Amino acid sequence: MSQVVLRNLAVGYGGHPVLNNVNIQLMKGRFTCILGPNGSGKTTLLKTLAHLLPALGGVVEIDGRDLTQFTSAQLAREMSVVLTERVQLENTTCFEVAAMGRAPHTGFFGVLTNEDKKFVLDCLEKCSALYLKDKLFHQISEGEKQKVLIARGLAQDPHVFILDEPTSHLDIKYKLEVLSTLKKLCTQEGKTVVCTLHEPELAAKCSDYLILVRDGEIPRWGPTQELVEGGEISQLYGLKPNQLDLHIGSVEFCASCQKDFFLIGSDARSVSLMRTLANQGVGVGAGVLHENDFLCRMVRSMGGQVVTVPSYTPIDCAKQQEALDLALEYRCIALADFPDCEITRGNLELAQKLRQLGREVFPADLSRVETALAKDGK
Amino acid sequence: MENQHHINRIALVLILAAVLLAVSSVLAIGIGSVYIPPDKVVEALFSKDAVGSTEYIIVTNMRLTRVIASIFGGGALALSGLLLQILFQNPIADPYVLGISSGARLFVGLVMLGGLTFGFSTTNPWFLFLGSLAGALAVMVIVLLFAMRMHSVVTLLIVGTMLGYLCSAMVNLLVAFSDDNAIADFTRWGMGSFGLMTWSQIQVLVVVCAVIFVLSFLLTKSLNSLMLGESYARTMGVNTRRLRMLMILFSGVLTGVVTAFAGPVAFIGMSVPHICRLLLRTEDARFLVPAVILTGGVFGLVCDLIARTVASPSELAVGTITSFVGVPIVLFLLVKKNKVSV
Repeated sequence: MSQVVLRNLAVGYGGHPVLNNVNIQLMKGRFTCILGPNGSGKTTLLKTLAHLLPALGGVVEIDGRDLTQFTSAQLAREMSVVLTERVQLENTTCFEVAAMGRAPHTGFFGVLTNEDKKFVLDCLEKCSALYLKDKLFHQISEGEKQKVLIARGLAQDPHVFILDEPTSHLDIKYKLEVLSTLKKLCTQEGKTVVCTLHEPELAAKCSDYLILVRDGEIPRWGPTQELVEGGEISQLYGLKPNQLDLHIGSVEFCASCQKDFFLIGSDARSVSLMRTLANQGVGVGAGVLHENDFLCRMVRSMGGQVVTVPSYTPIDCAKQQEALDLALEYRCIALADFPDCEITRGNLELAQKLRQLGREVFPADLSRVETALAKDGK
Repeated sequence: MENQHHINRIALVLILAAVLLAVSSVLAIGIGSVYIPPDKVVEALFSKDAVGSTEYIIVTNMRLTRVIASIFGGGALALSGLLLQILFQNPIADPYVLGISSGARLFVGLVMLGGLTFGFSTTNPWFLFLGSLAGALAVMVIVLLFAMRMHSVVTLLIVGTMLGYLCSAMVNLLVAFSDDNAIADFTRWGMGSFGLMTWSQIQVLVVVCAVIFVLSFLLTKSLNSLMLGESYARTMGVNTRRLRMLMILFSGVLTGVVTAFAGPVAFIGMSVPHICRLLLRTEDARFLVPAVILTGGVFGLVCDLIARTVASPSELAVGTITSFVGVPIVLFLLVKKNKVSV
């Protein structure tokens, strides 16, 4: 069920539209992430949604009612917002900051009742920030500040929770903490959460819906799984087609496109071996790998060529030949240390054939490979 | 707000400030060229028997006006400073620093020297107040226009100082074309003193200040929401446009009414809110507003007392004393601010 509907919305600053013709829905009790490159208009869209910027055209409806028909006090009880603005406050405890969120619910002088206080403490606890309540806001870390500001937004007891880049400037621990708090708000409390994120790999893992923003339009929006399958997200940021693998949520640095090093099969150390070599500017390729091998996705993300067979199937002759042809184009070849069994035997035969053709096949050991590459380079 | 300990501390500071205000008023009334002991002062103020005695005449005709003027003047400037600091989100905002007092001075100059009276008598205190208010608001609007474009703490300080110089230059022009009697009056007023007010002026001062003091309490909840910045305040249901207008109006009226009768007095508006923050350890406007009014009263009273006694029988301008306290605070805040950000 959709809670917020954006219909033919145009957003922008000072009469200049940044995004036109936005038609999307935010589902009740779901976590929606807005993704897009810097300057694409994500924040502008979010601010229009939060009624901090006037819409340049079209409407935003909450539960079927036009945003502009709410009084500001009504709207404050309907939605709350966490912004990226740095807040500088001295002499104020984190409890007091979180308690500011009660403002739309308290009386003329903003006196907190005991229920209000309990509610604020609950909100701090939900954001795992209860331990901060008596600390001074200006003395805690950025990640802790963010948790307190989210607790403040939560204390407003909104139906719709809007956050602008809630994870920026945070280290990985706080990123995960903040996002899991938001997820919990959706699943356990039925809040509709929408936020902009700079980490597509995290968005793919935590969100229910994705909205992609690029070049003044919304090229796609929908359930996260559909968009991940579609592979549009790599393009969104102008990356190489496979560079961002959202199935496993991983992005790799592009390796050199030279054909330097080819690995036959894979073992436990192959991932770090390939990354180390790629970081040294070595162009990599691999085969024959099973589709469910992590190395297979990783080498593709790096832009290397991979010969694959379906998961858990023996390596057939055609694939073996393809890998052989490919391996011959590389300067240095190594054989991973995998057990000999039915589905891997083809790779052992591949190494054998390469040796018969006069190519040296090294063991997949970093120092041996480095020496071989260096000698060959001369 | 959050714990009983803190509430107790705040209550204690507020009560102490009130007691201090009462005690220092009585002492200040007594101290002067003729010393009157505190018990006689209380008698002269509250007992009907004392009417007509020498003490009564000195107290009511000479000392009381001055004490009331300095209490309300100090409280009004301090509250005006607090409102400006919240409005500009800038710790060094103050009616004098931002040139608002100078704007008021210019317009008072137009009334007193330029004879810009529209047929009113220059002695009409309401008219003087309105002139001063117009000047204060005019400068504040200009400063706000600059503040909208530039967010740096230091830039705002420079804009205010420049506007202050400009107003002074215009006043000097006025002085050049005025007659000597008017210049003498204007110069005496322009030094800044709480000792020049007539009873009719004090009535205006007290009425205007009392109204704004009460109205300011009604803003406290919104002022608290503004602590996180304007956008956050809006998402919490505050009509920030209306709030800003009211803050400008209130601080303009407070600065205007004090400047009209006491001349420009420096730095009270900036020092007192910081002293209160230090004492109360809170930014909560519900506690800061009463604390600032009371402490401002004490501050005004004590500075005025020092100004008229330290070099007795001659008298210093009260602005001299407030500057001695205020300038170090500005410099300290600037250094601290630069360490954190900018």
